[in-house]
Amino acid sequence: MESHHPALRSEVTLVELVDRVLNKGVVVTGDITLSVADVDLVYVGLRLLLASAGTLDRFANEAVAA
Amino acid sequence: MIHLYAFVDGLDGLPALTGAGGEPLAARPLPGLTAVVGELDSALPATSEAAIAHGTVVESLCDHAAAVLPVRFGGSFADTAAFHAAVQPHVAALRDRLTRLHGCVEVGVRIAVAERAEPVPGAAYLRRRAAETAARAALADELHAGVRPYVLDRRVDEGAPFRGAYLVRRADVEAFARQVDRFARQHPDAAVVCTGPWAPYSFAGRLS
Repeated sequence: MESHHPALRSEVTLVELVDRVLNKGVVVTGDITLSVADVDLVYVGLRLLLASAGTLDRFANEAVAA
Repeated sequence: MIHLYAFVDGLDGLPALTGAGGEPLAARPLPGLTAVVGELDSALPATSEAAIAHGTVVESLCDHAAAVLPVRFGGSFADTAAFHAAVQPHVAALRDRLTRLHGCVEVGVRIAVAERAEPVPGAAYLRRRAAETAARAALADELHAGVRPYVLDRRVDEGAPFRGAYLVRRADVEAFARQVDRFARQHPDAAVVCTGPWAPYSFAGRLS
């Protein structure tokens, strides 16, 4: 697998996992038990992860500058 | 409460893991497939930690089953009767999907290209954006031409960053990754990250 930058890779992997778990996968029931506030909590966590994945863009910029 | 992780086929044993709420995992047989669940006293907390734990269970099932159909985090059932009432009408559709996913995993590819940040007048800005969009599409076409022999299906978001999910036979994962490596070396100006293999979340489909 691509391994430019191990720390970057593990952060992106975590974002990719959370994105799949929350947004993909089959939905069997209409009874989603998360309240709106709880869902917001999950998405706050997701935004934090995405913010750390901003290193992806920095890395791209450094590659261009090099 | 019953928390549902995945439907599987050809399960050879449960992973040595507890569930997202610390509960033991359990296999519930259904006609022609198996549901992997956890029984909890109350609903799971809606935290990213619980979501990651859910995902960890689903991923580890890939080492123990011939086919895994991941279930999205967030749904649960009050008891066994509610679980069966919700699942029973969909058993045939779930079995069809598992058959399609036999021996397959999902691989993710993200591509980020640095965009030029210096300000330009409106029309020039729009032209530049259009050129960047066209460049992303060309990159995607090139990636897809290279990996085509290994890809059974794909779900692609050509935005910035580009995100692709590819359904690949387990035996082809290494060849797919080598092809992405080759693509990355040909494009040193782009950050290319290949992740997986994942349970095939992006190919689970919707139940009507």
